[in-house]
Amino acid sequence: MSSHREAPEISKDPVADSTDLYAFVSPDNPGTATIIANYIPLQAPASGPNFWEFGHDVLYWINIDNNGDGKAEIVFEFRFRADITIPTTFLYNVGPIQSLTDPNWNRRQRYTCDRIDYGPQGQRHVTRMVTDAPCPPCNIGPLSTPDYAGLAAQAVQPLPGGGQVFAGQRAEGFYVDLGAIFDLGDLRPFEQLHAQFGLNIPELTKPGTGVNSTKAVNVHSIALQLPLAALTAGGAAPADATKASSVIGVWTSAGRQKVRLSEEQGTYGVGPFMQVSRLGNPLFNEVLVPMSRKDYWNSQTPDGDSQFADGVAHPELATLLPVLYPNVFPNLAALNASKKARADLLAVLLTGIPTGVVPGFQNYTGPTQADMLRLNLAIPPNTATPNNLGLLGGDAAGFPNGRRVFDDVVTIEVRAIAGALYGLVDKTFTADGAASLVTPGLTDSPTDITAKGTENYLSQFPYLGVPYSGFSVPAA
Amino acid sequence: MDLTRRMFIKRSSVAVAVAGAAVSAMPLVVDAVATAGPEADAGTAALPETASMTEPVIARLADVGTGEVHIFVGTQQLTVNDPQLASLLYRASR
Repeated sequence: MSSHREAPEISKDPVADSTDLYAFVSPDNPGTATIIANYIPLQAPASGPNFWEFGHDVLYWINIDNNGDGKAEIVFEFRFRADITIPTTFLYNVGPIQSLTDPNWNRRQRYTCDRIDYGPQGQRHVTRMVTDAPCPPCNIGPLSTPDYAGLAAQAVQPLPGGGQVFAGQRAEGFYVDLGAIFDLGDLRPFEQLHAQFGLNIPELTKPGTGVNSTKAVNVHSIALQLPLAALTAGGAAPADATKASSVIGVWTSAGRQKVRLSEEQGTYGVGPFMQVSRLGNPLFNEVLVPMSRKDYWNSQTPDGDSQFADGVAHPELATLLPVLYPNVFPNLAALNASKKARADLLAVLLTGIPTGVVPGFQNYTGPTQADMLRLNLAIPPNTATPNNLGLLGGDAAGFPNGRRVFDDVVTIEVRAIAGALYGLVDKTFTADGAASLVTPGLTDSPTDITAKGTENYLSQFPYLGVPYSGFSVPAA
Repeated sequence: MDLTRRMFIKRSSVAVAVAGAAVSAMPLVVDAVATAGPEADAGTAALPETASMTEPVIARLADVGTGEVHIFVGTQQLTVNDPQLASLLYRASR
């Protein structure tokens, strides 16, 4: 998955587990950028009476690097608290919840958000953005949350200086055929070509249909929409896409206090918060970092990511594809055998793409290797002909220029690892035909921005769909 | 060395945890006042009468050889180098 349960330790700590990160110039408000950090993966909608919520003992951060050093110049810090208003009931709610102050609602969450600006010498300047902002309840069903969309809309809060914020449950927007891909690299539309380890499985003798493993589950989102000028180093909205100052790097992270003490009265965190989860580019820790180092990766900051660069320069998946799919990726096999570093992947994932590689595009942040989602804020959103393959599909407003909610990042990254982009940095290389075809098969075409209608994205903030209700999922 | 021994004695709202890599991989939670020797008495005698604890204080014996002790309180981690304190914590954990 993008980053759901991607490392051994964080897979046991869902409330601190970042799952997806999106950053894009807002299509309906192009003077702003939207950043969405998702946590708490694979939520079954029917989870009463203790429905999903953010960790009150976790700090959540959205980090912005606007000078290319791989360090955060701006951090948005979120701290949640949970309150019980009716201590005598076992229920989440004792009647319909029709407003965010409804007395029928027992267990509810609020949060504060601070913006922390770091100066050149590390000076901190803290600005309170919101205090005790309400989260919506989880989507329970027609009796408990009869107008969920309206209720959740009440939780969108304005921010001082412009922009808005939302924190709460959303429909999972990431789509992936998890069941197949982790069954030894099965890509169902091409599974008849899989080597199958000599097992000759009858069910795998013809092309299959992709299965969206994350269909009808929920996540918890922290969504910010901010004026472009609020994110840049100079404090001005960028207008020239060729300038380095137009590019920001974004990642999310979460931390827990170092010591956890359990007593009869409750469980306490003690000591400073330390990072236990982070996410920049989708699938980075998932696919490019060996399992033995994934927990360590989660504790590190992007400015030190050169220590993980070898997994990008020589990705294990690139060596597996020609083995799993014999005779399908001969050019990739030759590239692997050459031991050449994958300069294409190093650029896309660790430095950004410099000027001159893709005509008219750059999101280069400098030589510091750092896993960040890089967004060129001066590239306008593409509302006319959006392509779910992003830059690979000729749409510079999509991944790896930031990431929109509908971008097919699994297909993009599998194709990139298969060599689809390597010809950009080595003109002597010709990508295998399969590199531009391989896909888990979860979209109808590159212009399908609904994942075959399974994802109910919104056209406005917070863009991820209304969460699935416990009453409706699983369906009768 | 008994690596599995654990004690948990709660007293008031103060808890002192001792975990030293050279001693044991398992955190030990002990009541320092109840189990320590004369050094503990000397330490507490120096405290002002108004001293009180409203939140947990956790001590981790980082290096029994150098006396490095990490103190966790609130959202802070403090490091003290005090061979006497380290010795006290080590003996209290045995």
